[in-house]
Amino acid sequence: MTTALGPDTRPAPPGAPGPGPAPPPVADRPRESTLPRRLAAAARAALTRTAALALLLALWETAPRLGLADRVFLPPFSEVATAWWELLRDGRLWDDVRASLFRSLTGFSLAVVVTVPLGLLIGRYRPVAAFLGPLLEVFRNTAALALLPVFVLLLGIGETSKVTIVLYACVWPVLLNTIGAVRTVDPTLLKLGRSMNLPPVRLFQRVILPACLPAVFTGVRLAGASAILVLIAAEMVGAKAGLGFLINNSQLNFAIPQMYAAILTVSALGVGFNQALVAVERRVTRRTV
Amino acid sequence: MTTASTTASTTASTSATTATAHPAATVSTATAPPGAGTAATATAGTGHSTGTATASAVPRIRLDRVGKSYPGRPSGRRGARTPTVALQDVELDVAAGEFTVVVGPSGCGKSTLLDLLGGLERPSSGRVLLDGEPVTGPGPERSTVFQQYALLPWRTARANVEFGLEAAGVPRRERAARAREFLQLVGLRAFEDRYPHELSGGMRQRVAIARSLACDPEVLLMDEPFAALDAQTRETLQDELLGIWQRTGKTVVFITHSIDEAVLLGQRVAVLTSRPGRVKEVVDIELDARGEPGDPRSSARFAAHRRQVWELLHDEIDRARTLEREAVAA
Repeated sequence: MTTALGPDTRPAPPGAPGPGPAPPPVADRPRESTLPRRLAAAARAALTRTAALALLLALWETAPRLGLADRVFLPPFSEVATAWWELLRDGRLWDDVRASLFRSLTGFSLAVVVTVPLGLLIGRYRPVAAFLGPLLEVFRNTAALALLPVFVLLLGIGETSKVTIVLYACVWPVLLNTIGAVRTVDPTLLKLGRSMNLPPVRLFQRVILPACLPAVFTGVRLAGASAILVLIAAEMVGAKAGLGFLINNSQLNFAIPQMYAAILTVSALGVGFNQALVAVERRVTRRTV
Repeated sequence: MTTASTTASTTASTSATTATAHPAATVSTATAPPGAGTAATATAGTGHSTGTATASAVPRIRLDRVGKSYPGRPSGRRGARTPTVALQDVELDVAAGEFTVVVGPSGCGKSTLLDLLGGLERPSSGRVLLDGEPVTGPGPERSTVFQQYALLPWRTARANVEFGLEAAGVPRRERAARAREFLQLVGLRAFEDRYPHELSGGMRQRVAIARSLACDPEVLLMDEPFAALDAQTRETLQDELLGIWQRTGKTVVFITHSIDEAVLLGQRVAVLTSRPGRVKEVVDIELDARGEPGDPRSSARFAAHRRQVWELLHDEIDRARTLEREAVAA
């Protein structure tokens, strides 16, 4: 506001040669000094951000070599990396990643598509909330993995039961955040909509939905994290492919480096998924506060 | 309008006329007889060239023995539901093009009054008439400016102004031009691409005013629009609002709790009593310096009017305070 007004209202005096040299340095000095300073700041930031990771990897590499940890159960990072590369080359890793991605993305997407409208409805209409509230409370407090045997019994050991358990796990964070978001929409905005005689559909579309988006996205990101979390656990219990299966199977076959490689892949997948969601969120909610 | 509502309104009007006929007590409480409204119209027509001198016998807004009560919460120990009476027998006429300020102690139902005018609430008794027709809901001929700006934070200043036009069904191409025009009117043309969080409080309220004006309403309802602003910004906006009002000739109903603001802005100031709110007195304000250079706030007339309104209001504030104390003690 005032800072933005400043340069507009006070135009720079056209170059008076006598006292002229004084103003240009004032204008230039920050620019000159900010570039190196900014580079240094960026380098420092990059260093701080990677330092902890690098330290962990270094510890991982040296601890087994120095005999601080059992090399059989914790092979050095370089061995794990080699194993990862081999898994990638013979195509096994990709098969498992694909299987896991398909399951988690399907379950996650279905959950978001179904739950956001449901949450908007429950948040907006008290009778719906009163009717569904107790039911939701029971289900919400039932751990997804506790229901895995039920899903396997009802839906078999195939893809359906795994997609379903991911769907189940993703529903709750999205639903609860959406309901909360609708309930906390600024009442003056709702009053504004009413005073403008907006029909209910328009009010939803133009006011409630955009107002809710940030909170809904928080739920979506939480769901993204639990999608992978639950899926890996489910795949460990009963599956013929997938990263969870790869982890479990490697451990059973005593292929310890492969096991760690699979675990690292899970982490990378989770980080990547979250970053993608953050990018989508930035795109959709252009608000910068 | 549906036939059902028309018949309802006619029955309401007959009951209202019989009601106004009998008790003489209402005359003493509501000191805005029809004559006052027309007298004020005359001053509005002569003193300010608002182009609405053709005000007929039907006022733009008429509050006819309006009452509003809310079903109270069951109060703790006794559990009895005593309805809260916010407004009772409110009588007020506002002529077309007139700037009316409603001032009252806090909690006297000022905002309720505006909600009734805006059609967001229905009166429990009496009638709210707009050009002689009962108000049945919100409409494009009335637009409200809220104290909390009510800007959509995900839209730029221009898109916020366009929001009102979208609701009114103005075609897209026309919207942008109209939005720019009205941002120009409030002096924010250069800020059209800013988001609300990038604007100061005064600028936000100006965007909100532009949004209201862009829909070209006949009546501008303002609910303490400057209460959240700092003193200097408030003065600037008060002057700007007066300028805009004189240029556009809108009918304005302005709610405030500030006596200075009421005297400065209003052609007429309606003083409400403490809860339940009634119109205690309507004060006609004569400030010759309005709209001219110089500070009208320092004139002798201003001081006299200020004192008049202050005296009317302070009895009510004291009464409200004792009522509050009794409520706490009980």
